[in-house]
Amino acid sequence: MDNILNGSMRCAEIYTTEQAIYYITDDDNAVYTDTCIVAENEQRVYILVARDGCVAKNIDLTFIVEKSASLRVELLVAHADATIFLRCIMRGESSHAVINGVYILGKNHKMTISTVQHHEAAHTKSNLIIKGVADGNAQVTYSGMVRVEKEARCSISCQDHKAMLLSENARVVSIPSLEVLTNDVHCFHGSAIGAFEQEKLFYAASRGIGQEIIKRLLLQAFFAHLFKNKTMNSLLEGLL
Amino acid sequence: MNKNNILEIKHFSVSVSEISVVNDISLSVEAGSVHVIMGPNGSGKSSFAYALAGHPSYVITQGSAYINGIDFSSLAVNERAQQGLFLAFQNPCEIPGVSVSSFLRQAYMAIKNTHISVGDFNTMLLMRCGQLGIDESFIARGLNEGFSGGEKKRLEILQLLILQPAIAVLDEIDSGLDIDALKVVCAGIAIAQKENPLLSLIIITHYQRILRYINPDHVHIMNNGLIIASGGSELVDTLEAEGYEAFKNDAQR
Amino acid sequence: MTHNDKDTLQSYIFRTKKGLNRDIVIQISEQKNEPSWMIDFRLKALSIFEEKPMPSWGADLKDLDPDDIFYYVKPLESQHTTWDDVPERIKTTFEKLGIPQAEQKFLAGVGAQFESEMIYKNLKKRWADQGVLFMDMSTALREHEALVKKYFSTIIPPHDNKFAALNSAVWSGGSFVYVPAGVRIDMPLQAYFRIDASQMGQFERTLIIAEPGSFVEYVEGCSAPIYKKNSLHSAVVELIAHENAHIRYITIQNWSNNIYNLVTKRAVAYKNAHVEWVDGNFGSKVTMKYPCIVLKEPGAKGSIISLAVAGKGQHQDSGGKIIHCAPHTRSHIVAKSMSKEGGRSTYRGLLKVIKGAHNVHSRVQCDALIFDDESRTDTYPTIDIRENNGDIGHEASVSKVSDEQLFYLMSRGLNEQSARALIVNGFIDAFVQLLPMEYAVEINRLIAMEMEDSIG
Repeated sequence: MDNILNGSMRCAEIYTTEQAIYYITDDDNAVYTDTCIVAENEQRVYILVARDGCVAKNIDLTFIVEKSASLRVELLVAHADATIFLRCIMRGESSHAVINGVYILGKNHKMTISTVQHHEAAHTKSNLIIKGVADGNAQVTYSGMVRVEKEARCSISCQDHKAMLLSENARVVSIPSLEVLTNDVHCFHGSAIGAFEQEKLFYAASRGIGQEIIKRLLLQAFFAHLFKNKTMNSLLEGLL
Repeated sequence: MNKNNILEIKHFSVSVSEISVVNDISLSVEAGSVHVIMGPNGSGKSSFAYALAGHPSYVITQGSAYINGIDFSSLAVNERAQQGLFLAFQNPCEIPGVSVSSFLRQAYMAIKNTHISVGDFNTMLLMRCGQLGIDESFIARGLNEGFSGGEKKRLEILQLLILQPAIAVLDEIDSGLDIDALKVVCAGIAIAQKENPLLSLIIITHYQRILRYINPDHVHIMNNGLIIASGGSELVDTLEAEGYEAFKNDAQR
Repeated sequence: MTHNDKDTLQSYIFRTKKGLNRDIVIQISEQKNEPSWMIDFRLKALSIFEEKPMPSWGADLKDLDPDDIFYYVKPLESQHTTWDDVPERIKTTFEKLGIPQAEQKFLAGVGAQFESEMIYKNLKKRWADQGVLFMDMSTALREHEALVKKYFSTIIPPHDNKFAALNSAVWSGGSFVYVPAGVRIDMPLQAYFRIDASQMGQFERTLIIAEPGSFVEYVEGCSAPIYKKNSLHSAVVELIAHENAHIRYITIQNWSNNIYNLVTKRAVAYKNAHVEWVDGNFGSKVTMKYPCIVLKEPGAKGSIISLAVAGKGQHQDSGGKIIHCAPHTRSHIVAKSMSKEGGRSTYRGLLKVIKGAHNVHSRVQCDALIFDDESRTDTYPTIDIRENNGDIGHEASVSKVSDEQLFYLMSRGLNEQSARALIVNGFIDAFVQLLPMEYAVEINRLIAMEMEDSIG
């Protein structure tokens, strides 16, 4: 795990521990396609990291969550180009998925993330939160589909994308979509795009606090509580 | 069955999602009396209230309940209300876009089985708002929409005064209120009692605070879905001194 | 069939052939005595229509055959369906909505004008005194050619999309409204008052110009179901709001459910101007309609408030597009939909902030109520932000009428039907609030009827 943290691991690694299955890459031609099944009653955690100079050409993962199983995916894209496709299918009754992602991009980085939360069975839950900052000339496209089939009664689905644009040239396109074929559901999606709130910056400055420090604090607050995995939290801390 | 009893409950058991939450409760409530039900979290107090009102998730697995001599089990939710039952909810839900005034007028007409013009109703409503110190702007707001905890409770009491039930079940009407808000709520209850001396109350609460303003005739302690002690207000003194443990231990003996 | 009706039917068939070609377009233009630039415009648009493929996205248009449609029927004749032909369900709806006999026939396309002609004459004088122009599009073209030419098709050119091209080729009817600077029209202009027989035509073309500091509220359509034999309706509406002007455009559509209703509506708002689209979609088999506002100069504001009800066999595919081209602009979209009995309602939206458009504030809210598991709802918004200094939020929710809310209302004495109706009323409230009162009353009644039908 130290190798991951100190950046001495240069190429893509798939690493399994008791806690999670890790895929970490800073390869300049990373390709990773897989279908992962979370079997009945199992609990699985997947950690995906693309960082620092990585060009993740195609990370394409499908997760199938069976009856009463639960899946947690934590994703971090930092200073990398990436094309990522995550499809999460709640196939078994009462299955549950949580997908939390962070992106921190600058320079000329381009990132496209597409996610699918597909509810096929009843009493399923999914919760997706993607938060990111785009600086420099970074370009981000997020498209997220939530699809709830007719059989997926009593399901709950949430999808939230929040982006902060830190420079004049950064650009974010967000395309959240919902397709719902049954009535007994609660579905919610949201997208918000903005920048640091002027009021907060001004207040801090009037108390002598430097802009850089307050921005870091605001970013820490922005990303707080997204990751449960210790490694991810360490990585994130190092980036902010 | 005692004709003075507005509410008769016998061997009442309730389950939700197949878990038993109320076990074999029997209770008789005379017209004009005040019953208090206390108990720790999870003791089944709110479940009991919900089941009385007819919430679809709460299944009555055993026993019977009579309101005004009529068997509950044959009555739909709104019919129970029309028979004079009122439940003040612990966490009333929001109904956006439906104003307080239009909602209350509909309820009034349904329960009193009468028609009243918007103008006449609003006059009555504003008078009641005055009694509870509620600002006039309240009545145009969406039902519970963006209301604070205190505002929601006040609205429940406003409904009590407008709908004039025979028996009111108040589910933790005091939770989340500061002293002033609590006083307003209790003043509202007092008005209701004064206007209708036959009004019966079942007050569900954790705390003894509200009992400084309302005098109970009967106090019941619930735990694990059962009534483990019944008596007068002396039970409250014991509770204050020794907590629920005292009653739990008694029940186990 | 009476002798008269038979004659009418024959002349109806004689006048037109199905399908579309240059001759028909020229015929339309000549009937209206149009200047040559308009004929050219129509013919060019026809070529564009013929070249463009059917859209590959959106609602299902596979049953729509452009060759199987009458493109032009002389106005008076288009009204002569017999009262017997009008479906029973529509007649019942008229009665329930409290619409008098004569109006029923008129709306069903049977009768001719009636007493509102008197009201119309008085209003016409009032407007003329203020310098307001309100007339059908063809009359405007004849009497105010220069003004029309200045703005016509500047917001929606024929190549915008296939159905805009179609409308550009065969347009007939529709309103022209011009409001001089500083004039605030104090009552809503109703398309209804434009007593020319083709007011509910298939290919209406509407143009509204609001000069600086002016205000106009325009209402078209009605909640009573409009029955038409012809199954394609493709309208184009262009709005221009100059500096500090305010335009509110209200459409209530309840076409019978054999109709494909494909509409292109777009507005441009200049400095500090304000445009509002208020859109109610209750009828038709398929509606595709995405009112658009281009916020072109600083301080401009745009809002789109829509309500779509999709019942059995219906697909309401609607939404809104707002493009922020300038800084300090604001936008607000509230889209409410209800799907029941197998209906499908789809929201398609675009919120775009171009580079340089800083300090933009935008909120989009889409709420869908879905009543049963035969029905379907979709939400497809696109949010494209190229400027960092803005505040943009989008939220969508899908749910059914909540059990908690039903229980609460029933515990206060309402029966289930009344409780549902009250909740639905609350749901559509944001939309109904914006309508002139008579419409609000009608819409509430219409929704109440829809609810009754579905509960049965």
